[in-house]
Amino acid sequence: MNSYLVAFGIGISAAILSILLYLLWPRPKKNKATSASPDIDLAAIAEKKSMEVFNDSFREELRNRGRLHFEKVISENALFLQQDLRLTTSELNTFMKDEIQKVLKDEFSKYEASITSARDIALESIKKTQEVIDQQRTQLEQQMNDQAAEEKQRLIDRFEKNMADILNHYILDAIGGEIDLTDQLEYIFQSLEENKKAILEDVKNGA
Amino acid sequence: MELKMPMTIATKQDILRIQREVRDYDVLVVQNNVRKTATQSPIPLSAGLKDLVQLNQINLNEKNVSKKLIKQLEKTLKQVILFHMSFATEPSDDVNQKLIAWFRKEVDPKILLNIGIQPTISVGAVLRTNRTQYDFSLRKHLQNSQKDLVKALRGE
Repeated sequence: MNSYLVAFGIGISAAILSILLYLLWPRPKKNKATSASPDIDLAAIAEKKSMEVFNDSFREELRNRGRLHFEKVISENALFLQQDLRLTTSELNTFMKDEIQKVLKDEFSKYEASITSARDIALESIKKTQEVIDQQRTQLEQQMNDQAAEEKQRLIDRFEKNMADILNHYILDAIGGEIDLTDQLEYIFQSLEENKKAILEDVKNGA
Repeated sequence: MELKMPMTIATKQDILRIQREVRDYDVLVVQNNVRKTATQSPIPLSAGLKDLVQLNQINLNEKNVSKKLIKQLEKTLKQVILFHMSFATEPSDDVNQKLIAWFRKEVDPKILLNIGIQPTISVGAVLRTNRTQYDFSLRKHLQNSQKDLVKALRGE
């Protein structure tokens, strides 16, 4: 709005200045010999009179007045222009400030939304990874437990299968040559008695 | 008439050794007869031969008795029932005699034992006839008792 007023003021000033310049601009003198008619003489007289009225000092006076008026108008318009410029600058600053704040707010909102989204995605990813790790850990634990149980059972089975040899080995190591055959006779005779029937059968069948 | 085997003759090697001893004795008797020294220096006999002649009431100084005994021993060798018995260590003579006594009393009087050493037996013995092997070792005993041992280990 202010810019329109400034332009209007400048336009008015330019129009006034144009009229003054037209009026005050010196005109060329016409040749008397060429004006033979009475109308032409009247015109010449009128021109002469006007030249007498608008003499140089008057013209100078008008010129000074015009100059002063022009300077006044220019000064006023410059003042208006300055005020308008300040107002416009202030409004522009406010506008820019508001716009920048709005834009920044929007951008920050988007940025915050983006950060939130990224955080949610990261949290979701971490959560899934954690779940997968937990699942794998559980599977691994179960697998290790199974393997341990299997190994334990295998060792027990092997121990039980070879128990006689193992015990015999340890007994042999423990007693070494300490047991005399005389001490074993009772056990040997007991075994012979238990197998006496079979031995007799062997003898009968040609041992 | 069959020879009665004393407990001191327990193995085939014992009979072979007695055979050699009787043969040597016969040679010595002949030599003594030639030298006329039989009554002056009696020939020492091993325990096995001494028991053998006492059990069978044989006088080795009689003529041809030695040769007859050698033949009887050869015949006995063909008739004997030979068992093999293995132990962790070399059994003493006392153990041998007790074992042979049991076999001759409970199974057959013609039984002889071949004794072997098998350190893996550790405790007990392994008897082998020509038909069967009887494992009286501790290992076999433990193997037979495996189920009981497992039960005992599991606290059942």
